[in-house]
Amino acid sequence: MLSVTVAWRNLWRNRRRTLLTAGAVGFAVLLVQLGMSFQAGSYEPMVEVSTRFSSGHMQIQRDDYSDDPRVERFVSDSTKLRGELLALPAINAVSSRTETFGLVTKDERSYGALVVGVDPLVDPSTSHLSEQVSRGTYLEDPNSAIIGSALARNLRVDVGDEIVILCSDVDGSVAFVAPTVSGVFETGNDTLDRSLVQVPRELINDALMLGDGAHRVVIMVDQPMLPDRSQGTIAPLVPPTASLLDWRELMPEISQSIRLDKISNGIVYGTLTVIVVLSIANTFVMTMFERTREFGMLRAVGMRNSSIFGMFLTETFLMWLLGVAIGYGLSTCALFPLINFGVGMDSMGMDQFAGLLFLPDRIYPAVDLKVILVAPISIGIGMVLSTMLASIRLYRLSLVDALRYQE
Amino acid sequence: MTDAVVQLKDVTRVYGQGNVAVHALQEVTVEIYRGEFVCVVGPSGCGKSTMLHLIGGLDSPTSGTVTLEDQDLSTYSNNELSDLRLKRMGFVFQAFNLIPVLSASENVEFILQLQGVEPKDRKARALEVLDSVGLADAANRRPGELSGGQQQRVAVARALVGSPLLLIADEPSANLDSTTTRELCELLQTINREHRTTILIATHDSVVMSYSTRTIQLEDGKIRQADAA
Amino acid sequence: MNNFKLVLNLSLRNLWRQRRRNSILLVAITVAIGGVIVLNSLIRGMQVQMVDSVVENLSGHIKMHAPNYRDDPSMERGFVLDPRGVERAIEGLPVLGWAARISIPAVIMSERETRGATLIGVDPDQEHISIISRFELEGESLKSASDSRILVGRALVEELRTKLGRRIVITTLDSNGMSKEIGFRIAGVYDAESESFEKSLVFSGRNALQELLGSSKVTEVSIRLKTRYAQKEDFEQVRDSFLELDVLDWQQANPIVAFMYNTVNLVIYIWLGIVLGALVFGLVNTLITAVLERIREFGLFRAVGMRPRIIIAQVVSESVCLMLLGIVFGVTGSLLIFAWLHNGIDLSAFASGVEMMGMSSQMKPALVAHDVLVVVLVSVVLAVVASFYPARRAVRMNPLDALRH
Repeated sequence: MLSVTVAWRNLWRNRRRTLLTAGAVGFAVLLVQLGMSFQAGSYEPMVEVSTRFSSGHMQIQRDDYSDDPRVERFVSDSTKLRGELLALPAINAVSSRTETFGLVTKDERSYGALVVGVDPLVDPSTSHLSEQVSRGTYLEDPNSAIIGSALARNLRVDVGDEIVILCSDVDGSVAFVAPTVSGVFETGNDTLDRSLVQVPRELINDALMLGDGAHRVVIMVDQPMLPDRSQGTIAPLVPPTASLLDWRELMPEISQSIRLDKISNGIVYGTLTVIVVLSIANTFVMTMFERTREFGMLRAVGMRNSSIFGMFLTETFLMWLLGVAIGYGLSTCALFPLINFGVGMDSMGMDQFAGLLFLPDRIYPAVDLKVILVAPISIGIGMVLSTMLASIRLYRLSLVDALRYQE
Repeated sequence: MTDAVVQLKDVTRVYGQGNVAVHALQEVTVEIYRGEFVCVVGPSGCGKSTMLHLIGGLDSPTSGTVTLEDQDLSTYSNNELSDLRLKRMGFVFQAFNLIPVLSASENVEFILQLQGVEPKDRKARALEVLDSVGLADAANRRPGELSGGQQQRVAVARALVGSPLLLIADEPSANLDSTTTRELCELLQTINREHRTTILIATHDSVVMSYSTRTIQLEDGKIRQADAA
Repeated sequence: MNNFKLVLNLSLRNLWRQRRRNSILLVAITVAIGGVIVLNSLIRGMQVQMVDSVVENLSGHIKMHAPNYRDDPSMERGFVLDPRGVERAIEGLPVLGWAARISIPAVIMSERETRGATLIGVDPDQEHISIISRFELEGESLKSASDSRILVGRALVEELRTKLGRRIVITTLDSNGMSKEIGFRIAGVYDAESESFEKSLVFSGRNALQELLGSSKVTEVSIRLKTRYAQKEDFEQVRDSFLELDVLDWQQANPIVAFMYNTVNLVIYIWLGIVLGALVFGLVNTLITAVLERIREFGLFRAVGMRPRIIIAQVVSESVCLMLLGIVFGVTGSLLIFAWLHNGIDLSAFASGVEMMGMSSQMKPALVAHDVLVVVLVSVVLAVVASFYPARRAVRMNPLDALRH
């Protein structure tokens, strides 16, 4: 097409200007893509890491448990429920947990702690805790316990010592278990290390007279970022007095900080795009002024305004294409090694906080369709608007004035 | 039904308003017939360009009517006027005639493309018409690489390629020396004779005038003297 | 001086001559400068809030513990307070006040429920330096350091299913590491901004606690300065006075907040770089065009004997004038936005998220003069640098060529 040729060659009439404009587009595309791919790459691991501390991707709880977690508010027949859940295709793992507050005592020392009963063979598929045992072993004996490192230090207990855990059973009477410490775990999260004890569920359920009950039925699914997909299939299995909560409800701080991060980054990208688009609009207006007589001549020889506008749009499109190619080229160079090797938290001086902020050790930037398209499309829209702005002149200026126009 | 290609009837064109109003043309009535080679002459600012612009549909009169082949131009929409210029007229200006990024033949082809000519026919027709203005050798050069006279010949070639009824030229010789001007005029005369293309030129160059079949003299927007057709 | 006036006059007229395109660029500069200042003030606001809330929430600017206390917070890891020693250590410093406290883990039992929390023994007369004196209370506050009643957070009271005036029993370890059960009457129920604060901290009189636990020790001293941030020398003066204690400044005591605090300084400059980087493209483009279309004009100036330097000065001054105008609009705009946001942005929809980051759910921007100054200076420098290349083009051509152009 000759008009595409004209548009393409017009770009190179002012090589420097075209390169600067395309460079601005590339610059914005590069920055937005880098930023977004890091965001995209960090949210999912953040959810994965944080949910594996304790909450899981989803939980089934009795309706009133989250408001006021009392020991008698449990889901019964949890083993049967677990079996039914596991039969669903979207579900990877299910673990039932009993949870109560207990007074952990060793000799004369006692501290309050969250006592969690788990099925030792099943729970490691939903939680990292078994891997974080730094001394001793995970729950291997039916009468064993693992405790947080700070709690162990405070109680002055070590692997092999017997501890006594006092709590109240479903009737409100005092119950106790006396397991042997088989392991000490260190999660890096102060609160957990200071106040968490895990014991086999059977042990604590017997003491609390819970039978096969569980306070939380923890579920891991295929795609935690898209909980709606699995929720539909799980819903029919949820007992009538219980409800299904996803990680957004279980760990609102995580989902809210992700949302906040998205919003604040959106503002940054938006401002960047507006500045770049305004620079481009300015360039287009300048170009339009310079080429007034050329457009007058084109109209005089019979070209319609709409065709001239079309030619101008083609130039815009080609410039956009060039800029996006520059941006993609640079971001591919930058992202390719990062995607393969990741960025270590240690290189950002964040390794010591990774545990507390629920961040993984390495972040691998992730590129999805959104990351690829958002910047080019929004800048593209801006460029089309700029073209329209610059072309107002085309329609306003009379032909005679255009032909007589002196720069 | 008359033989006139172009008819101006009581045409007045006023630019601006009130005290600063400029009467570029005042009640001009003129007819131009098929096959004529007409020069509009007069000093700068006498209304020559305005008259050409009105005839070319680039501008519209404040009062009076401009008709092309008995069609009143004021009844045409902007797009219809564009099509009219594309298919029925050819334009040659003093300067800035060509699309600077296209070669001579591409400049001609561009018009053919606008006219909707099949791609395969374009190249041949463009070369043919360039050959007819004596520029077959320069077909692949860009306007920047051509002399002023060559550029004007390309402009003429482009104006001719659609076989127009009317060729309008506004001071085509202003940037040319007298030898080149003669060559250009001879080219225009040949076209006028061979194709019976009506030619209308605004000029104050006596060389150009000497080729005309008729001159219309304008002064202060009024016809001072017109030869009989 | 005369030259300067001439150059300035020419620049301003040239800017006005191309007002349409210059006004678009002006909008871009305004958005960039205004955007940077507003965003920086939000980031600074967040930073200030993080530090303030850490300092206010019991940490203070400088904190001291016995060695090992942080590993094993207990009465055994306490130390005997020497008030005169503290006074000597802070002599000459801009100190707002200091407080000695006991802070130990405890198990709290109501008639129905049991929860874990940290029991803090305070002297109300010293606590004007912390949030404790500013609690919204139902009931009464502690009357003195010997008040043996207790203040409990609203959220914890609800979890324990107890209420104001009732008794609770606290199990904790005494100074010999022996479990001890102590009964307290709830004097007041406090509301704090953070729910986790309410759930985890209970307060009683310090001297009363010492008596009940059979010890004269405290576990921490917190010092608050009148300034927002502690100076390094101030901290070192205190640290060197207590060689036998573990003395921490607020950054050491709160490593996450300190990390975020330092990251913020970096973010502000990265952001400035990105925005001005985006602006450079448009600026250079416009200036080059402005120079090229006036090549003849410049040739004329040269032909009548104007020095190249003055032509360069003219182009540079056009760029700087445009930038300064943009700065005026941008700063004004950002001040307006700042005034509009002065009451804070409501982030309560993200309450637990912002709490995790140590911020309050009312985000208040903080305008720091130094930041604004940096933005202004860097953009003026940028205007000079960006105009230099186009300006050189304007004088590189010889006058005759320029006239023929």
